[in-house]
Amino acid sequence: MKGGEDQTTFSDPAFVERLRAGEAAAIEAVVHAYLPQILRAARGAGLDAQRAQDVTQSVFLTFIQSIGRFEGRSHVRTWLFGILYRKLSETWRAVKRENQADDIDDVMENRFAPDGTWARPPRAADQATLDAEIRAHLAACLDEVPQRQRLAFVLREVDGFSTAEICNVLEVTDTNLGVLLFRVRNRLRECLEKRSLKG
Amino acid sequence: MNGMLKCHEVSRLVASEEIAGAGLWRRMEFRLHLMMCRHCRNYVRHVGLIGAAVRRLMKTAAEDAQVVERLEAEIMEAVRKGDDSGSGGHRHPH
Repeated sequence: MKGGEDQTTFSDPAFVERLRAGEAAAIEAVVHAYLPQILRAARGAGLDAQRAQDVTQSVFLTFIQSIGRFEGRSHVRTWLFGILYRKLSETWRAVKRENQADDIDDVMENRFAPDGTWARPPRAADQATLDAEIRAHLAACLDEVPQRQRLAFVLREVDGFSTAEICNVLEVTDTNLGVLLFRVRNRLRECLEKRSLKG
Repeated sequence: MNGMLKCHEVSRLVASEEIAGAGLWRRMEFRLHLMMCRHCRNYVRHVGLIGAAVRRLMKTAAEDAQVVERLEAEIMEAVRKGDDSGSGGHRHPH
């Protein structure tokens, strides 16, 4: 896994103690190791460049202010991404409710016949065509994905977080995470297929 | 065959990643289904390609080093200022 050395160092109880004591060198090591990942995740969740930078800065300032409460029970990275998630979700509250029922679930149901076989199967295309189509439309399709689903997807696919760590950061169960990932993958796949067929 | 996996279930196992935590029998059924069903093979391929494309997109769109450096410097300046003013009582002896 990426950053394996850092992961081990940052879990060391002696390092956690230095962090809790507010030692600048320890804080700097964490900032240096995780700032690019936090910034990328903020962008991945759909923020523009300036807002992503603002949120990143705010995440680390909150981290530094609350460091005395960090007990090392979760990894420092999980703690940081938890702060990021709470900051992002403050701006999502308005849209959260409408995500309870998701139209992508109906779209997927309509893909299948009552006997569970494909009624409208995925498009068959050669590798080069699929690659070109994905490249052409992925950014636009990502913009159609609700932010919480995007964040779950980015943590999984880009940062390679484990299921347990994403559940910890997003404060969801395994089952909820499965639903989020199911929806984001199908939403992207449906969007890409629709746009590709339109040309 | 009775109890065989259906395409509907295969798509759910893949997209939700439930297949990763499934038992041996389920995983064998899953593999067998993929061997026989080209539509599900296409679906699995699409899901894999989308994941790879998102990784590529995010990594090439990674913020440039200057932005990262500036943000780091600003945050560390705030840390040191906090230390100088003695606020929070976090000054460390070494």
